[in-house]
Amino acid sequence: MALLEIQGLTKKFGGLTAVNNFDMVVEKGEIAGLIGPNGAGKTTVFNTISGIFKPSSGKVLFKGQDITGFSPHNVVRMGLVRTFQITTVFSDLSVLENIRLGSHLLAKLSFWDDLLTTPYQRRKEKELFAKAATLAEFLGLGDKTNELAKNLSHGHQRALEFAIALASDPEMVLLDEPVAGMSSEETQEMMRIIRATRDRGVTVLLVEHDMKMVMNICTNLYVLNFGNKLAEGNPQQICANESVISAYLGSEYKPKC
Amino acid sequence: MKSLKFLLFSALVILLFLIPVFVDNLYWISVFTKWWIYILLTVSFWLIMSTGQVNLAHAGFAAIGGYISGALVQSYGWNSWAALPVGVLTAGLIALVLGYITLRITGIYFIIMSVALAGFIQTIFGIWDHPFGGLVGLQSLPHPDAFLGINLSSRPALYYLILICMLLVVILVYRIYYSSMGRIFRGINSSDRLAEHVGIDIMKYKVMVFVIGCLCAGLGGVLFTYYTSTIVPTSFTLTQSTYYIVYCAVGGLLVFPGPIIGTLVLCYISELIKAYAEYQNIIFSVLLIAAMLLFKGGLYGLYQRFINWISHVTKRNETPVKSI
Repeated sequence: MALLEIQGLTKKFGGLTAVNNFDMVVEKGEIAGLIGPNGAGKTTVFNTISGIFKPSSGKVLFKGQDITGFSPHNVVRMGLVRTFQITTVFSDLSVLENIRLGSHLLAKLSFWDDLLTTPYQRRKEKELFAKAATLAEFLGLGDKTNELAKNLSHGHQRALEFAIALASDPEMVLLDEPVAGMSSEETQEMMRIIRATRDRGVTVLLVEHDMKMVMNICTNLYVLNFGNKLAEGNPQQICANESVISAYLGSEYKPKC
Repeated sequence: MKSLKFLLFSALVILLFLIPVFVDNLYWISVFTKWWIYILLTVSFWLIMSTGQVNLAHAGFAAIGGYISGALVQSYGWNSWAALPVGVLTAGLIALVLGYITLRITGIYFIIMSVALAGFIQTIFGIWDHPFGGLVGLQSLPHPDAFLGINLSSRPALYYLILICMLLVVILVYRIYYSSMGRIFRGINSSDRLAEHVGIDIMKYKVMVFVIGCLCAGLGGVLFTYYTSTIVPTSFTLTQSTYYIVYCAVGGLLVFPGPIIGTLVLCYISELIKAYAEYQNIIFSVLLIAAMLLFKGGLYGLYQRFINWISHVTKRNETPVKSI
């Protein structure tokens, strides 16, 4: 079943066409990849899906519903979350509070619930902080729950970002360069976590430059170049695709597939 | 730990209530009354600022509360207890309308909007002779009418009325800041982009906190008219709003006692240097810069660091980071 569908997506910034007539389908349960050189328009696609930009034309469908132009908090409401290319966490809050905020939509607390500390509020806070602690553990942050996010190392901040995204119990996550700046151990760990996330029923679409990781983990790939779709297919097909090789992978890559 | 805090707070409140009993000096009772108004205004300003919005029109909203209720009483003969809610709600309504229109703009633009608004409010109340008294403002405003039979015309009575209002606002702000709402505000302040991507409707929360803060400011303005019996266009200026920033910064920006401590300390200093009032702005500016550069976290931060140092020195294991 197609969970995320993009039809004819075009985004122009004045005279610059960042994304041109892009089509993509991500099936439920997949780990799909969106790759291409820098400036190809990958993050713009993400930004259009998550509601930061409204597309110049085209549609975004999630679970069969048209979410084109939805503001970010409404996209998250549908069950679709994303992470950012530049590490984005709530720097002045602790790890636990960060993840707890990720569960914002699960709390459904009213103003009066908070003001009067109703039993419902107390129960929900306890429940969601416990959930946050579990997610922290899952992402390797179990011993740092009270640490302020800004004091974490880059790798841990990346992990925290992912924890925040998972905290809303999403159906799908868009990961923008999840292993950027990570060592190979950290990358292996992140891959393990991404697979575990998929196994728990969350569909993944990621943007990455680490080809070893991408070819290893993705079931389906889309290649963007200068805003246009260059190719789509499974890793073997993409690896062997001549235009992808010349535009992005490089001719030394073919034997590595 | 929680019951200790509650006990301390109760003890403090009892102390505050006993001040007029032990302090005979009407002048000082007046000064304290003024300080309670400032605390009310500063903590409500601080609450709005917790989302990253610096409301330099905060004093202006106090002016709205004071002018509307004052005009209703003086020019239209209203009972002060009917005029008070109207003054407060007018401030809130204006905040609601303006909030929805302008809060789509984030970051530094909010502060610019508030500067423009502050100037606008100050000017507009100076234009009409009726009912706002033009440039002369409203003079000889009466004492608040009796409340449930209690006469409110004496200085001590006003002290108690204003103290109670201040405590209500302080408790309200405390409850909000340390709830999941406060966490949402701090999240919005940290990264509003991320906040909207965890499903937080940032517009809703920014407008909400702006309205709550401005309602409190309106109340502060009404209480001000009870305290001074006058209100003029220059009572609540942009400069006044900048004082709230200084109080918060000097006291400590990120924890609750901060704005209260800062207000008390700086109001006391202001009282001490009354004879040299022209130097107040210079002294405040120096203290603000010192707070930003030297003692980050304000006076309360210094106190916390001192406590940490003591427990470190006595080799007790305490985690300095409090999770809220």
